[in-house]
Amino acid sequence: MQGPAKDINLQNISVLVADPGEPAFRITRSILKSFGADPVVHARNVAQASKLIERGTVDLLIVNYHLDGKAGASLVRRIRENRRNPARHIPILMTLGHTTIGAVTLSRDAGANMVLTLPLSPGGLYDRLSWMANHPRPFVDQEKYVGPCRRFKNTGAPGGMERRSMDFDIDDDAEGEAETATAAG
Amino acid sequence: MPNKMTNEARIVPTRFTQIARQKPGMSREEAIQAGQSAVLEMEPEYLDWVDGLLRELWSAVELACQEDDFPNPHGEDAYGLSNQIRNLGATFDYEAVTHVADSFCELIHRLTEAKRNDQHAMRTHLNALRLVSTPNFKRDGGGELEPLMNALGQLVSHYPEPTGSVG
Repeated sequence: MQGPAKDINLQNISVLVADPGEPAFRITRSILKSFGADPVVHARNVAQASKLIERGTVDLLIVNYHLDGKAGASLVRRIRENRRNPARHIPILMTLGHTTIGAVTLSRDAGANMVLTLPLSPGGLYDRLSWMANHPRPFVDQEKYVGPCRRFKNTGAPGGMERRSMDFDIDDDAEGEAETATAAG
Repeated sequence: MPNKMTNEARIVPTRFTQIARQKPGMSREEAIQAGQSAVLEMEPEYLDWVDGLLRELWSAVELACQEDDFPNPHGEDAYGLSNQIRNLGATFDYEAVTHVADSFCELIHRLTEAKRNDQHAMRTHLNALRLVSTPNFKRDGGGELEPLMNALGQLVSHYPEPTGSVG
């Protein structure tokens, strides 16, 4: 366990929320703005999200797994794999609603930094953003995988608090990333 | 032989991590409190949102039930709408909405995998969702949630949990 989540500064952090639902976006925007983030913009589908991401002005992407059906993970993968994309290293938080087999693994293997199970709570969102800010992971760029190193220990919910019963983190013992990750630490 | 330089993982500084680790203007507790106040202000809108989504869901379920084939596009719409409702409920202390909508999503997911249509199970879930969307079911639902979830769980369990599909 890592202890309480650290305070973070989100003033003027630019966030793109890629979610098919207008209400979900408005809730997320409202919470993020109360944390200080600004601007918080909305993409309703993969095409809109891709266009906004490629402008290179987004600091953080929050993407729903169920964007355009179940295309959230493929959007993340495309962002990570596009070497000409200025935003390919940005932190990405994947949100999951109803969870089916493999959704977490797919999200992780696409290159998401973290997974957050919906519904959203202010504490749950804050703690994950704090965790992402304070535990940056080496960026792996290999033929089979591009994204934050998947090999890290699961030490429980970030901050040890604000965990919902259906919540979980990405954790893994991904083969093949240990050497490169430890080299960069 | 792979180029070791290009394969070597390194921490890439991002604007997010650089700014977020600066001294914040407010503490975690203050930020979360501000977030909770923001959510509270949106509660009247939440009731309108769920009402609108339930109307759309009703239409999608009726159309899905008219089709012989399953899965069908209306069933997919019903899954997406139910998932949206699921993702809103507990944020506003309507835990029952999230549980019932999650069960509805699971039902449609299993029906899709089984290629079966079950009008009774879908309409029962829709009616249950309408019921728990009322303020009487805010928070714990006054003890009525558990028997309701057990009944819905029995409907879902008629269909096997998919094991072969991903995502």
